Amino acid sequence: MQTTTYEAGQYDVIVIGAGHAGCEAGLAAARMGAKTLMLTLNLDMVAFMPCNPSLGGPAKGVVVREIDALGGEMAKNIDKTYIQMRMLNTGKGPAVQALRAQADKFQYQHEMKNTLENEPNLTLLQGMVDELIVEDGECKGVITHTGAVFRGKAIIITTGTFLRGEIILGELKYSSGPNNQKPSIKLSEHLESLGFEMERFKTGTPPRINGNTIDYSKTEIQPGDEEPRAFSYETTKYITDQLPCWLTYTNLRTHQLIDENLHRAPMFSGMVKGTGARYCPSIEDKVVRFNDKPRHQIFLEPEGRNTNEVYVQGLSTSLPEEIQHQIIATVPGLENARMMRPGYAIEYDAIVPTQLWPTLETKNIENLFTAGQINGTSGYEEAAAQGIMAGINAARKILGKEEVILSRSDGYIGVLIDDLVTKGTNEPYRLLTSRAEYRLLLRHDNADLRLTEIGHEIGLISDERYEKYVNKKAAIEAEIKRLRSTILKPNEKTQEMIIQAGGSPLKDGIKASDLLKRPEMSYEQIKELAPTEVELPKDVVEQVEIQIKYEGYIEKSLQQVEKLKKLEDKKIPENIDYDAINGIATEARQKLNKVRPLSIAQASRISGVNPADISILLVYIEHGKIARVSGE
Amino acid sequence: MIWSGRFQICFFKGQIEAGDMTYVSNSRHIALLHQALQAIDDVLKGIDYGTPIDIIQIDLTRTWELLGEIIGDTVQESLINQLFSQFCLGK
Repeated sequence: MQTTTYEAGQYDVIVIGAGHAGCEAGLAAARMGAKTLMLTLNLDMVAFMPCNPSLGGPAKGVVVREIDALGGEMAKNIDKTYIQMRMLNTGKGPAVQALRAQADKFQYQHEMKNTLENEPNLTLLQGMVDELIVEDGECKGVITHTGAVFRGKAIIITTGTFLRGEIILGELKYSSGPNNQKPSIKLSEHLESLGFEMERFKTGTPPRINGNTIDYSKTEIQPGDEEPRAFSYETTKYITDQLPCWLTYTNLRTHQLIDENLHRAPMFSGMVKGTGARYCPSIEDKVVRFNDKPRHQIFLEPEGRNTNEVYVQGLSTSLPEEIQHQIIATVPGLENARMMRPGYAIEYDAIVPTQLWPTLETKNIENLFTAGQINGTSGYEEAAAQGIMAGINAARKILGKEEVILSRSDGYIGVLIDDLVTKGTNEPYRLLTSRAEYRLLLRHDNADLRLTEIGHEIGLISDERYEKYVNKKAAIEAEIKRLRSTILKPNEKTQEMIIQAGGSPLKDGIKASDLLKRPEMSYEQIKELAPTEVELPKDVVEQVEIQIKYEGYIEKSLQQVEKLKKLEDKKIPENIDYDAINGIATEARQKLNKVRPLSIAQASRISGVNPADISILLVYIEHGKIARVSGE
Repeated sequence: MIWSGRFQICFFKGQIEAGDMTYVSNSRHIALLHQALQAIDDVLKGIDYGTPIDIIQIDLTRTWELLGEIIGDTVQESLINQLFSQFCLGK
């Protein structure tokens, strides 16, 4: 029986889904002045963390900061709700330092929901979208399964892993979203009927156990950092009572048990058709792939301050529940541990992301945007990054403003989106530092220097915060200038300091900045030799030190970026006919037609398009320009 | 000078044999080779200095790109300016 539809409201932006992507998209659009509606299957699942209750780490941690610099919410939310915060790779230099936080999962959701509820311009509503209203190639609204018709100027789909979700647990397979929620079936079918190419992915999660049943004496404690840290540049209050995590390991008995039961593992029995992420292997995967490793790390991570649930990181699995019990019991410390939720795998539909423009608008249907795991990514940070960009671009489009596209040198967000829309992905895409060519420029410490200007220009960063940023930037530049123009003489004090640090004494005077470049010297020491008038704040000092010490390499990276910019500026005409270009290889032609790159730079990144093809393309475009200019 | 011991390890353990002597006569290519040599030198200096591998990689990438420009593996937008200035490409 068909539900009778009814007109339920007019909005500027409609966001389908209130996960990490949806929340950023909704908040960004609302804060930019768009009347925004957020529809979610379940209001109790806003900003839910279905897997690891944590944010950050290499590359991902930088993304959280980038989202903050643009004016997004994730960083602020985790700063209010973490149970543990750690800076990783502190011994390896600033280029690879990354912040990581364990979240109080329930508090995280609660805070975010609160923020959504209190955001002016934002309406939060529980409902399931069954179909989109598409007329003349334009998306004009949505229809929910209760018959509500919502009209919108831009629609953003952020349905995560719900599209035709199926949970797989041992021999059991059933239709479901993550954590036994309702899946979204009709919308997925509708998207296919609209001509979208979908692919099927899988992801998994480990069991949760009761913390009271863990024998911690057999594990190694992993406390948070004592030094107060925060993701957001706006955070001034730090949570001091942190909860520790605990480290233990699998052993040969665990591995043997898994080997004996591989025939019951959906991954190996053929039950799972979707492609899993190489970088997020299940324990069965690990045991099979790395069968010479005698043990694998297991981190026991509390899920919150007011629950005993502990996330067993490293034990992601879809082996039958019966076997999961046995596996857990083989791990030191977990001999008597009781499971609270079993681990499982989930298969879901994702959209092939090369069907999107770099703004995350779909190529086929105007004003329809997609963001988050629906685009084939994995991870909350990756989702949130796409969410904020989709929200920004949807709002800008409606307001008649220019789109915002971050380049690969602006941030990991730029790398992420460019990889997705230019190269696509055939497994759940996860951000790694190795995906970025300009890693030295995309650091945890300089996210604000890279993106606050943009955040302010689009209206998501307040004037107050922007002013603080401008002052910080000026202070950094002033101090660097001062150190470059200060000469330190080889007097007793200076030589003494250098020798104490382990360096070789000076023969002549040296610029303070050059002395700082020596690996054994730090800013603190230079400051003693060349004191400042005013005490500079820590974050300014940090930047001065990094920018001076790595000056040479930063310069080289910037030169590479310059080269890239030249190619980025070589735009490809919108109506170019690739079939009319002689000399390009067939594969290149196919790929160019599919991706429809906006610039020569993007074209050169498409797999299957070679430099020779690019040269021909360059000549063709230049030819076209000359022909037009000479009036032919 | 390029085939020092350390590099032999990186590149096929030095087991590549050139069939015949390869001559590079194009002045642009020669200049690129010099730059690539300098870049490799920077890599070695970085290793000696104890610079983190992530940062040394910048010089290694530079070397790769410079060599790529010789064999046409690196996309060169300035190529267009060169071509249009040196050749008549017709209508």
